[in-house]
Amino acid sequence: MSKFLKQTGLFFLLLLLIFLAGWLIPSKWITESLHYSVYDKHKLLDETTDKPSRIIFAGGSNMSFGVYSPAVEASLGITTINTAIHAAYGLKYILDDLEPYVKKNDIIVLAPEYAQFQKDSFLGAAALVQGLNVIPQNLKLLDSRQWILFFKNLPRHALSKIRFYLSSLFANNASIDAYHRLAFNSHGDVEGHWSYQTELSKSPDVLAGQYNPEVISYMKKFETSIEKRGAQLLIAFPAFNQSSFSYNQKVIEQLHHELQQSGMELLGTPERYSFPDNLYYDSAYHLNKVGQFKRTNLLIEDLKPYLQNATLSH
Amino acid sequence: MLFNSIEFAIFLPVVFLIYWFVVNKNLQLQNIFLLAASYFFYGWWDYRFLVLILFSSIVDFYIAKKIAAESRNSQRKTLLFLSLFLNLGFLFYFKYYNFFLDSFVQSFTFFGHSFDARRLDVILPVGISFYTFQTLSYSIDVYRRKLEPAKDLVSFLTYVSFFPQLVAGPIERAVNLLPQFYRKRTFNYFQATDGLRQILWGLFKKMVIADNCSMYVIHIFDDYGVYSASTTLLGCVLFAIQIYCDFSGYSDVAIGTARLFGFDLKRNFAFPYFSRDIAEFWRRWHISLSTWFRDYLYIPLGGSKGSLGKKVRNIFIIFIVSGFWHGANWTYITWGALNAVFFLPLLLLNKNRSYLGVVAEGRILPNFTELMQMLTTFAITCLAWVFFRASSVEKAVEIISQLPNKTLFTLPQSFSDTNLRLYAVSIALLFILEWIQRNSEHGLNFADPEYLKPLKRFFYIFLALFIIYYSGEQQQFTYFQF
Repeated sequence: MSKFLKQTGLFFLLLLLIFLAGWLIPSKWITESLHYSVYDKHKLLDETTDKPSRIIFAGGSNMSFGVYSPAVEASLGITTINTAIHAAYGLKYILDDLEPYVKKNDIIVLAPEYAQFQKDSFLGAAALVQGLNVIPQNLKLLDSRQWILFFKNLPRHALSKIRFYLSSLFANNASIDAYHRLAFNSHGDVEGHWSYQTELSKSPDVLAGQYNPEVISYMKKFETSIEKRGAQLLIAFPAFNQSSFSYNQKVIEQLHHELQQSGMELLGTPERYSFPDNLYYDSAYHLNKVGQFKRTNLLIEDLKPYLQNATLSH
Repeated sequence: MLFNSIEFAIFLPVVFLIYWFVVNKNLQLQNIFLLAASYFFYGWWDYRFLVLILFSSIVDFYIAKKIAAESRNSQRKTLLFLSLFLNLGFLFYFKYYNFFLDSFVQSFTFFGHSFDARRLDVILPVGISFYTFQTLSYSIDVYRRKLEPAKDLVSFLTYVSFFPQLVAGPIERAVNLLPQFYRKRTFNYFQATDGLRQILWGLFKKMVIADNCSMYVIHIFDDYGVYSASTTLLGCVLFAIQIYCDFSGYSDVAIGTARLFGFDLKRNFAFPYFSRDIAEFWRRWHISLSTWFRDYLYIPLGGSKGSLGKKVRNIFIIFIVSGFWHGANWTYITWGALNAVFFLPLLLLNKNRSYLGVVAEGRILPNFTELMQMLTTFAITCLAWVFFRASSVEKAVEIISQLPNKTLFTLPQSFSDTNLRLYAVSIALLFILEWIQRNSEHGLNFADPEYLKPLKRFFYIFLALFIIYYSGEQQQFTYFQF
């Protein structure tokens, strides 16, 4: 038995060491990826603490691909920052990461993807591990369920990094695309895809998961916490392409109803933020340049009443 | 709890350590612990399933005891019928009731009458077909006086629910497995290490090949008619590989896991795609089910003895029942009937036992005839698998009818979520290793000289990393639904 335990122990220890090496290995795959933009976004939040008020966009990639903050800032005259990176971090992590940076008079505009309201998505997916590899100090934000998810996804992430590292020794595989750190502008919006053209899949994005009531409770908790600091939370709807929207209309209506019942402030309606498929880039949530501006204009219109009501000093 | 889940990766070592280090002094305690672990494993899906398996096992335990103690034949027969009625009754209720109801309603609709019938809204308990057949064989063997009834309830309950093979087999016979619960188990290093290798091989087949192939197969069977004939053909071939890797992968993990605990389970697959005819294929595919039907249905019906008509009838019965066992759907029944059609000529020409040994025995490669035989057998099984996978018989026919087309000679399409290169590499690895090992129990059942050991260790590490990196989206094992 001891021989067996020693040998299997060694086998798993070796695997563990490989995963650890993958986690620790410095890789451009991480430092040049969209995940690394978290530092740029945190820096933006830190550098604007002296501003009397700020509009902070948060959510998944529907928000990073879906708004042009310089236009919002110019139109409303308020410093605007887009903190959104990736929906697959899970809404819990997105809010936990943002919360320490919120200060008095901030207006947080949160637009979770519809899938975020469904079972399991709330806690994140594989992208969470990639995000945490960039900013390991955020490991402290994880709860036990996220830790399980982290360990589940760590091995493959580590191997991907090793693979990229090894291939980068032989070839220069760096390229700047929409998912590169440099694809974000100085306000945190993605605009690196403006010059690319891709075709959106004809099949709709299907919302097949079960509704998770924990998501709205957590959003309410976040709202309570930031309201104590004098900030405000507004919920926006993601820009979902029309064919996906029609396919999932019932689910979306139900979610809309739940959000209305929650008592949180909603900007517009889900229909208002669903656009024709030709305004999308490569997924049901990623707008192209024209779509991005169209949604930005709608958001500006919807935000105006809240700014007039707010006692903000500019 | 799925074998390819993180929950099982935690469950297995914990149970292993407690089994060998905490409860190892007392056999009864060890069995009680295995029973608790097995019920925990099964209850992980749905704790309500436990009520059914517990009830069914307790009833069979006491009925078998009564059968053994009873000397009057009529009483023994009544008791056996009671056991059959209860077990098959549960199976019918959960698995087949809606099918019969729908077929009944449809047949009336066909004749111009229509009526509403109330379908049952029940969930199908995972693995019910497997453990029902296991307990049935127990009752029948006790009735036939081939087996003494179980000595104690705990051993019997553990035999029925033994977690490695509970939900998808191999369907164990009490004659083989039950006595293993009576004997003190001692840890065997070679058995355990080979068990681990078999688990590794099973996970490779399931997680890398089956789960990835399923991504391609879904496109073909969901949107057939959209793709070229070559793409459809590739989808059909990949399904044949998917179903083999899914099910034999499960069996490998099950047998390997049992070996870690000192148990030997029946072999369930013996490299069926290296068969030279369909009769050999059925001796190598899902062996525990085929032999079950042979012993408890085919032979009692008369087997291959008797008139020509009787032989044909028996073959069709056994294959159609086997198809029906897989599920309450006409597709499975057609799949079974089709296999009967393939098998029948061999039986009638008395060639159904032509190939009892391993192909190309003592040679590295098969000769041309063997190669053509294997390819032909694979092709006809692929044809039957289309019916197995399609959602209806009509759709299966449409898929097959689209194949003779000039687009058959174009390059098959790839999809954004599929990786044809990965398929090629992993399937090649599967067939090469299984070909080399075709005389062994499983793909990694090496017995090579000492100097190859470091190389093999490196290979196991590589395989483990390969599984982690290339595993497809986690899918439930296909056979759990049966």
